[in-house]
Amino acid sequence: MREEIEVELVNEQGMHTRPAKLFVETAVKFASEIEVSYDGLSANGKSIMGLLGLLAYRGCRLVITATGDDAKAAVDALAGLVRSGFNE
Amino acid sequence: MSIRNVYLFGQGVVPGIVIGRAHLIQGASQYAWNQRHIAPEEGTDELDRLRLAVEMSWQQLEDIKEQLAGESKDPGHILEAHQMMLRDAELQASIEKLIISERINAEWAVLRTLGAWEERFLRIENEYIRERFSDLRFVCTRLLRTLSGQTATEVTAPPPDAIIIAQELSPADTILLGRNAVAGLITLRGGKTSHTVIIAKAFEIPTVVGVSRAFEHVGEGDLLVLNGHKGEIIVNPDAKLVSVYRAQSHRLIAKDQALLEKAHLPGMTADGTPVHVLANLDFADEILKAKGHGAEGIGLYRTEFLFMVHEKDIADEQVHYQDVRELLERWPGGGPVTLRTFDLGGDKFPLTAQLAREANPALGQRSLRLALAHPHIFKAQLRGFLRAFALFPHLDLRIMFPLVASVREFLTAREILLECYRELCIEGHDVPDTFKIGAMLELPAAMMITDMLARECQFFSIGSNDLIQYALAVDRGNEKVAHMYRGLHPGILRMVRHAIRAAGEAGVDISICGDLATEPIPALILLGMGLRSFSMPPVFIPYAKDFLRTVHLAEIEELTAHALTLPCADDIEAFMRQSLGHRLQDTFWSEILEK
Repeated sequence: MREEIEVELVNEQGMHTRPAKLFVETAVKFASEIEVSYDGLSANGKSIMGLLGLLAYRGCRLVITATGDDAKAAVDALAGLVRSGFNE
Repeated sequence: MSIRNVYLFGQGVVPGIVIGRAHLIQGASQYAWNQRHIAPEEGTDELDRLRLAVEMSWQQLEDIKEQLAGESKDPGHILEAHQMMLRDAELQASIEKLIISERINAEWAVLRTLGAWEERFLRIENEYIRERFSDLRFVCTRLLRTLSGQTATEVTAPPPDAIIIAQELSPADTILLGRNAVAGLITLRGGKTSHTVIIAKAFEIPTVVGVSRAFEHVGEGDLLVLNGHKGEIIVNPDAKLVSVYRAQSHRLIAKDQALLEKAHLPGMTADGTPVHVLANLDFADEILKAKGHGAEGIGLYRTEFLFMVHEKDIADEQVHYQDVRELLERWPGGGPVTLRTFDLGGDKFPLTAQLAREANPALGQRSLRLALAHPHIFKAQLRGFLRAFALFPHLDLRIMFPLVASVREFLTAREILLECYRELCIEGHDVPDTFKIGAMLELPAAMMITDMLARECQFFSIGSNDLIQYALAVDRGNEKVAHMYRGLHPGILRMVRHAIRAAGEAGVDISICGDLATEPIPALILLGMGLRSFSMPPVFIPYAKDFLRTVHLAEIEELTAHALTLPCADDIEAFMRQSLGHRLQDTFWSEILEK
């Protein structure tokens, strides 16, 4: 299964250390492979350095792709986290 | 013999005078880590060494995290992010790849990897993104230390009386140092509100930041005098200077004790004229210290910190509510508690930081102007304040707008505040209607219309730092003109007198919360002009109260009247010095400020 969703980074400081940490903590709960792409770069959604390396700030649109049995649930959870501004 | 008495300057962020030996902590970029090529057969060993160092470093952070559990400023989540970075598969893979393909040892591979990331991060203009790089640097430095067999002991066990010098200190390092009774901290990087500074404050370690040339002038073991009040370092002071500072620091400690015991006495002059001495605070947990130092109220509670280093990406209503609630819960009552709405430069403001820089930020969209341009963020703060007020209806609660330029601007801000109040009432919050709304007087034009503002404002606070900067067109940070920044300039004094009079005539409270309140001569002149309320960092309060008890109002009024006839700041200062004579020299208040 492959699921893809586009979300906007709404929290003010973008993919900062704390949001990246929260993203990884959520992503690793799923078996699916998670990829996050932005501006021609793509990163492993389970790697904090990968996510920080996207250098994505507020207003950037990220594409989250999950591949695996729980792809739908993973994409929903991760998109929800990003849309919520990382629960802040 | 090294050169004597080299002065270095930075920003004093935690006060206190200490004398100690320099202990240099090298960050990843300064230290000559062991870098060598390896033989092909060494590759596996090197990979094992790397993996072991990763796990050891991870465990070090785990240990620090455990020690920290339950502390009020728990930076545990930062440490967790650092742990996650250490074990990051991509980071490890890139280091391992370099070890094998380039045949270099683990240290070198870590440095190369760090360098590659640095290049990537620092290309970006965005301040927030650049800051993220410091997290990776902390992690890699820890890894390098572990690889070099230094483990964490290099940092945790500095020699006794050490004054630590580092490019920057991670929150973890600062905590460990704080527990090891270091005498002082010096960092090359600036930043008054970093996590490191917060922790140094909590441990009361005298600290100076932004001493950019420290590594050029200080060697391991050099004797240092660190003056955390003034942000001054003296490298290799001669015997005479050492004895002066040693005596000063001893006397400060002794005097501190004696004054602290008297700090609870009400502020007044020798003739019994009451003078309110209030505290300027940055953090809610400083409030007990403020009370212990004799604060008769909070004249200024800054809220910028929540925007700058709160781990939230932007402070929302709940954050403001929690913060003010924590503040008020600890305030035993008596005297005002004055909250200032955020006073940020555009470069520090989350929404505008990544936009093009303003050509002239001091004259640009900052402070209240930013708040009015982003009403949802302004309202989040105001609603947070008011919700917390609902829990403490008996307190003298005040909200103050910074950088007010005109009556219209004040009314606009006040209308937004009242709108929040009405909304909350409808939502069922029991917000008291007794809170006061006031303005900071820090623009020359605002000073001159104090009488008009007084019809709308319920109190004023003079912000002397910006006032002097704007009135004299001097940037204090620009060393070419910094000497022209003079609070005793007759033009400044006349404006302040005008404001004090106008407020007095209208029966509106007026106070001062700028640095001018912390300097004895200007403070006395303000007293002589009729000001009866001074707000300052808690550390100054016992000194100020003590000094005030030595002066008679009638004499100060007479001196002030003459001082105001003098044409230059230097004349005024010389006249006051001469007139006050030994009383000024005897006050420890001036001693902690002056050489």
